[in-house]
Amino acid sequence: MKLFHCENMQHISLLMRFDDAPLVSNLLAESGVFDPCGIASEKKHLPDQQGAAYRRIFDSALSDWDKITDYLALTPAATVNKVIAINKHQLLEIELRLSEIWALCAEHKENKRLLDIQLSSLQHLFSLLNQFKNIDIDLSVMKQTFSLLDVRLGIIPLTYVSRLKEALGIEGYYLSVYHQYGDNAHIVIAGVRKINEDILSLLDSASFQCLHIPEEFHEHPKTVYISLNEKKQQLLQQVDDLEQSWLILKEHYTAEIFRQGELLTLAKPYAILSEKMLRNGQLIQINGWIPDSKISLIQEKLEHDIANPIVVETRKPTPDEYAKTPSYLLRPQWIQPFLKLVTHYGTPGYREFDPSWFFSLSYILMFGIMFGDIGHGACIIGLSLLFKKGLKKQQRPEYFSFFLSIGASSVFFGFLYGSIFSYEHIIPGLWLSPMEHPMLMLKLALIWGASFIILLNIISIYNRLMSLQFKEALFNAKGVSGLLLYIAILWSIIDISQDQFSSLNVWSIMTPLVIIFIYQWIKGSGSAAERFLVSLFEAYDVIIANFSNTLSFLRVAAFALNHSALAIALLTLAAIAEGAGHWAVIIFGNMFILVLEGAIVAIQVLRLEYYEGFSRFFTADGYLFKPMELSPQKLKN
Amino acid sequence: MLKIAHYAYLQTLVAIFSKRLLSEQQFTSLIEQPLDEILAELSNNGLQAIIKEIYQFHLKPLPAGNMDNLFLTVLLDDAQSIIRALSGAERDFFTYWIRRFELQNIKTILRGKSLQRSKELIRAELTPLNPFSILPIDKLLNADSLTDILMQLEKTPFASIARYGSKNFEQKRDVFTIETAINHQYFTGLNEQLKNLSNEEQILLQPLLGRIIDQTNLIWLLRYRLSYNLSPSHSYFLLVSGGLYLNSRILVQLCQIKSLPQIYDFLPNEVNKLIKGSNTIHQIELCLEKDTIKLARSFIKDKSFSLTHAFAYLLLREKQLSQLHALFKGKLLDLSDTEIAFAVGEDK
Repeated sequence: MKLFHCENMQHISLLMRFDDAPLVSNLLAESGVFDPCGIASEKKHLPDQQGAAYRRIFDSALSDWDKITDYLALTPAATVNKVIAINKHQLLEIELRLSEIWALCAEHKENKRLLDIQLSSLQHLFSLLNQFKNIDIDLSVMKQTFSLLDVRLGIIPLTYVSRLKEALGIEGYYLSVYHQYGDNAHIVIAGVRKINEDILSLLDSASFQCLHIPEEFHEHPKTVYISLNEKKQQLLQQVDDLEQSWLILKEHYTAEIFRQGELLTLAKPYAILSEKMLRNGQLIQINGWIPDSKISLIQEKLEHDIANPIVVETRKPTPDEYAKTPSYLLRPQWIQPFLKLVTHYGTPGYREFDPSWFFSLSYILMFGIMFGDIGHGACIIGLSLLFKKGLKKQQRPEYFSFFLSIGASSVFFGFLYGSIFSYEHIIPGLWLSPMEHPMLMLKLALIWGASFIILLNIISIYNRLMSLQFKEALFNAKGVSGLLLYIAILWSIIDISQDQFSSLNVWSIMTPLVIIFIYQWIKGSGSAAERFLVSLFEAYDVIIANFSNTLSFLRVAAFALNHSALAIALLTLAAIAEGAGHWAVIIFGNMFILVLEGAIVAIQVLRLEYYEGFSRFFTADGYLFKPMELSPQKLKN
Repeated sequence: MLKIAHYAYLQTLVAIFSKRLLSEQQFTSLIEQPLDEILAELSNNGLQAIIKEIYQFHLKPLPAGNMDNLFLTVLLDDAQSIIRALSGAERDFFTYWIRRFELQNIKTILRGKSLQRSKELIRAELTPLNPFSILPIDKLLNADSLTDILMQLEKTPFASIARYGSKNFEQKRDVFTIETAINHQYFTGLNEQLKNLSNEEQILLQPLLGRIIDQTNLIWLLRYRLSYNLSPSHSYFLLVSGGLYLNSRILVQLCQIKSLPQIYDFLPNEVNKLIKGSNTIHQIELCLEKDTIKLARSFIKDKSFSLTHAFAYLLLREKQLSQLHALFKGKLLDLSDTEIAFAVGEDK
């Protein structure tokens, strides 16, 4: 395992007989160390048409398998029992069988959907019927049209009821409210039918919305309710039956689906590689990347399991291939959560400095400095232990080490500061209390920041050298010139504070600055004026960025002071309260500090790492090593 | 004692403001005076901004809309001072009363949009109501349709007005329907605001507010029945409750009329004597308005102060500002004194 680099990779090229390709693919996937890559097409090579057909059948079978496992809520096994090759004929049989099973599931699913629709419309009818529950007549009467009597059901805003009632009275109509819902009133109006449309314009002004009685409502509301209820019971029975048949379906097909899943898993590697391999007559070529240390493993495996000869060629990636070479970051388990934060920013390139160790240690250190408290740290450790099982269940076991390490750091600095649950005088600090030495804390934070930036500049130079960018390494603002400029500025500031500023300081600043300016000028494009301006601003930006980046580290001390200040505020508040109130303030105050300040510090440290750190050296343009795997659980991925 | 303390600031404010109101005789004498003398006499009447503007245009007519806005600003300034002196339900009541100007803006936008006029043209016709404006004017002007405008209004304090307007619009899809719904909802809301005041204030406000509602109901009723030919029931539905003399029973009867003279058969004596001799809806409106103004003046003279004093002041100030507006305009256009007197409603 390399501390600051990705594992060394080898480009592997396998030349084999066409018939052996499916089994070789599976053996490569089983090894878990082969990441396939495409081949630059040459005229003598032809794409593997048969492989393309294999891929199409596989995709179709996988789609059915995916839908079936989803519908039957099945969790496939993690591994396969025996590695064998699946030929095209076998794959066709799998596809056919899966499509038959899915047809059964789909029919079942459709029946369930139709039942759901029926239940939902029945529910709608129930809510409609609820509106008519206070009408004590046969609802079919309301649907009839009478020659002399005008009866209408509808909804109007509640505020219009009394005025509309009076207005309708003028026309000889009667209004009655039979249901109220929110701001609306459900009304029935009745009167002698008239030929003019006065009633209509009046009802329009009152926002009258006519209610139509559904076909199902052809009796007294109570009778309708009973018949709807009967229908509901029937539908619920059908839902139960369908649930039972689903269980039978699941029980009947689970074993078979698992078996088919295993076979599909064995077909997947060849289906994937069929897109990337090239064929020339009876020969197939597969290319990929493999960690340096695993070459013998692959060779032994192929020699042991494949009867026919296979030509295996390995070589180191050429400088042209560095950008395409995957980064294999082999890191211990406890670093995994920090590695996730690093890859969240970007994946280190193959030859680039991998900052995960540096990031992990500096993150833990800075968190402790900014949030040093024995009690709070112990709480974080306690909580991480408490949720360890839960994290494992959710397949996030790595987060346990994250909380454990930052908690331990908090405890360590808590001992140095002598702080426990905001009390600063219970145990004597092994070093100092931040509030009592604020200037020292700020000074140390600046020194830490400056050292951090110098170190990152060195890493930046290293990265450029590794990627063979020698000019950038020497003359760029993030190269040697930039580093010298930064050191010169720091040196000058110290000299100014000691009244020793001299022409040497000016020269030490101006020399790298002019180099950066000239380099930008040469590198730039456009007119002379444009290049001059760009170079000038670039040089100006170097000074400003260095200055602001260094000052940014003051927050390390500021948060340590902030933590102590919050503790003082909390204890002052607690002193005002008495008895239970005192302890309530202490407990809730500490919870507040733990959750809110803890989260803010975690974010601030991440911000320092990303913006003051990574932006200086980390190009993060690599991509992660993703070997093929033989796992039914990962079949969908 | 408590009431005196409660209204001490408001009472002082209204007392000071009341000095700006002209008596009927003062106003009548103004009509006969030349414009520069009128301006000199009104220089301490809170009209400084208007007078300054008139002088800037060298006593010539101002551009259209300018003077309307200046007079409205004077009224809104007075209203703002009074509202600042109030709190709770009282403040809400007065704010609601002033917001009726905003209803005018809503109607202008609705009409403009229904006629597919440009945003700029509609905007030019809107009345600036700062600091009372709460309408999202830009959003309303950018709305794609009348339905969209009503949806935008649902996010404002005019939500209920918009909701009912919207329901009516969905049914009939004409602007008249929305406007009648807006008017109806506004007065329904005003009655609700009145109910939030203390019982004592409600009783004191009722004669004045009741007369305003009577006047509104009677004029609407006449227009609906005689101008728009709506049915009696429809006309009745569009009226509002809360009148002083014209209760539901009388309004139902009035809705049956087919010609203007018939109203005298159904109106109560108190109203009948006020409008006696009027032959047009406009004349009836002026008569009823005069009665309301007369009552408002009596409130101002009353020594025991109540919220009604402030309400009466706002009514009188609004009326007088509209008369002064007509007077200034008439003088700037060199109209005769008789024509001006007719325009300001002092011809009877």
